Amino acid sequence: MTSTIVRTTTRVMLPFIIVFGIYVIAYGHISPGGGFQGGMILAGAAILLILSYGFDKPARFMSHLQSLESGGVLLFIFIGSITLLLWLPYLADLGIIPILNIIVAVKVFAGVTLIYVFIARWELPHD
Amino acid sequence: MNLLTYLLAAGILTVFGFIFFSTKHLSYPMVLTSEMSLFYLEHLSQTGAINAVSAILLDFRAYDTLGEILVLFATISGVMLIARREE
Repeated sequence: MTSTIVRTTTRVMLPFIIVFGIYVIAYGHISPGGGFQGGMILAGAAILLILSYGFDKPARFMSHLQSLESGGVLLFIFIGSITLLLWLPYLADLGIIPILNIIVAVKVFAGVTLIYVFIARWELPHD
Repeated sequence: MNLLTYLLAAGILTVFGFIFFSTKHLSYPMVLTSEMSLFYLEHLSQTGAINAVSAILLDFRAYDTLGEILVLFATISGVMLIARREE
């Protein structure tokens, strides 16, 4: 997969994909879109990068991705618990939907990239 | 016929029963003009979002989003457990 054509196409397309993903996340509360969809687009960009340039360079960021993925879950739960302390329903009427979109997007991006990397590097045991 | 077959048959019957009885009481016009959808549209301005889908996902039904996030977390945990490299 790491031919010159694939690398050049990736280098041209990648900024547009990333900008579109960030647009979908940032305008999630105004236009159709949201954190989940934008995170998926960003994960697609990361998967394209790994497909065309190999595992060697992104291998350093694996532990950071795991931290982002678990930290997103914890942050979402903690922010949601603020309204529970005020005796309101979970995440009710805080007006922080863009922030929640960003948290969900980071979490989905890290999670889907991790799933791809783990399955792609999976070696069947020799038996 | 062992126990597993009986359990499987009971499960399938239960699922079909739920589907039958839940769709029996849902008529189409009632869904479109239910009180819940009107409530969502009337209280949309409190959430700070114009997009009703985002408002429902992250404000009115945030527990659903929390469960969705936890499902993705459990999926990644399972993938990491199964597809981990022995190094």
